[in-house]
Amino acid sequence: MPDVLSDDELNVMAAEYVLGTLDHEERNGANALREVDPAFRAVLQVWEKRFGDLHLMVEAVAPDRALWDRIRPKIADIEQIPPAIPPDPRPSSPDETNIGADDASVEAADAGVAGAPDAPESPASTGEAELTLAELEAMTPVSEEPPASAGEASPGEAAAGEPAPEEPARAPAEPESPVAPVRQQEFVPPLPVLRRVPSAPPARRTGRGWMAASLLMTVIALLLTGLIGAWRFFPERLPENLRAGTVLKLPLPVPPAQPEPPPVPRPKPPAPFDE
Amino acid sequence: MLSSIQLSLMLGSVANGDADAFERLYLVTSAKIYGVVLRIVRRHELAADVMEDTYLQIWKTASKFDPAVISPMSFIVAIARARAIDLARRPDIAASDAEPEIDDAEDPGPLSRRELTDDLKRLLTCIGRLDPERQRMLLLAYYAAYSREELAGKLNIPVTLLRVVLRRSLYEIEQCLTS
Repeated sequence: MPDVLSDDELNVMAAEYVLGTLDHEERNGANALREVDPAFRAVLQVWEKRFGDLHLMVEAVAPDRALWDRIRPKIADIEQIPPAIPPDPRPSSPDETNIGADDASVEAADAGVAGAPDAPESPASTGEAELTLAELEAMTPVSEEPPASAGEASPGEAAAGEPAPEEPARAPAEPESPVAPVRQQEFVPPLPVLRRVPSAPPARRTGRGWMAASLLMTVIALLLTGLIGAWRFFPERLPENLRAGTVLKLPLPVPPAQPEPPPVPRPKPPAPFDE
Repeated sequence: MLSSIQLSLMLGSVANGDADAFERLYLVTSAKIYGVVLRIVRRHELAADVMEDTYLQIWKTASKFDPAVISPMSFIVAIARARAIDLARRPDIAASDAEPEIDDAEDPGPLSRRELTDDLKRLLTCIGRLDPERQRMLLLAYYAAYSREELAGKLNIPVTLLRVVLRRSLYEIEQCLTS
């Protein structure tokens, strides 16, 4: 192989690497290059994505059960590459140096994120979406379905998607960015996932309850807001049992005479906030 | 197969050291990956070695997974294929005269309509535009990791010509996919 490869050569090499036609020596070269050259890694990824779905056409073959027992103990000896920390999207304050430390919904931060040396690569505007992913993780029980008879995509996505609508409401209240790998958050769009929900089979789990609960809370909040607004701005238009005096069970003083006669001949309470 | 989103979440958990998520990931992906690997190395003993390397590499590099760039299954398959082909190309393995334990099947497995993703459809369309012999060349290369020599043999052409034909075909696929 020549010492310096043109872009075209790099492209062909990446394509043949992914396809599988490089010979032993070429593969050694490509593997070495992959470690040190981000441009080559990027081209590789392009071809990996291009050929990626061809695996769908390969038949699954269950391996020996003992294989897992071989693999599982060895992870203890492997040092994981830590996820990159995102830049803090909010203005920095002295208390927030340890990202992820006080967010209760974050999964175990043992991967040493606090010490991750790499410069973050993702965009800054990701605080809320990251939370979405971490909280999804914390909340969604992933079912352990056997590979061959794996459950349908829609129930899984229904469960994953339904907690999501709550997140935008709650995210502003949460303090910190989570530890979950940064680059994941960009892609979880609750909306497309929610589109699948109607097609989920009926007997599913807590996902539906979450959605109903959050909708109910929203409706209640809106009603209360409306009621309080009515107390403030046009209390006299409210029916008897919705008025501030009744609802709050406070003895309110009689208001000064109103231009319109009250619907019922009794003293009306004043607008609660007029003093 | 689980949805991409659930697999991505699993990889995210694995990246944070969650061994239970790693086990779940193994449970749902191992059969497919074993199938992919076995077709390449053709022996169960070798395939098991590749599986071990693959999943340990997943454990190590899960944080490198970026769902904006690639699907989780493709991420895993890419690792598995790289390890499998590295092994298959190792001179001692390549020269081994041990009997393959699986058939040298040329056709890829059946695919239900439901599994046909847009990306796959596009790729198959582009591959479908090539001469049948070139299509066969690409699929043999991908599924069974035939070397250039083996491909040249299958197509009954010299290796020098095979190199050119291969490059040309890859170029045409790229043009087709990016047009």
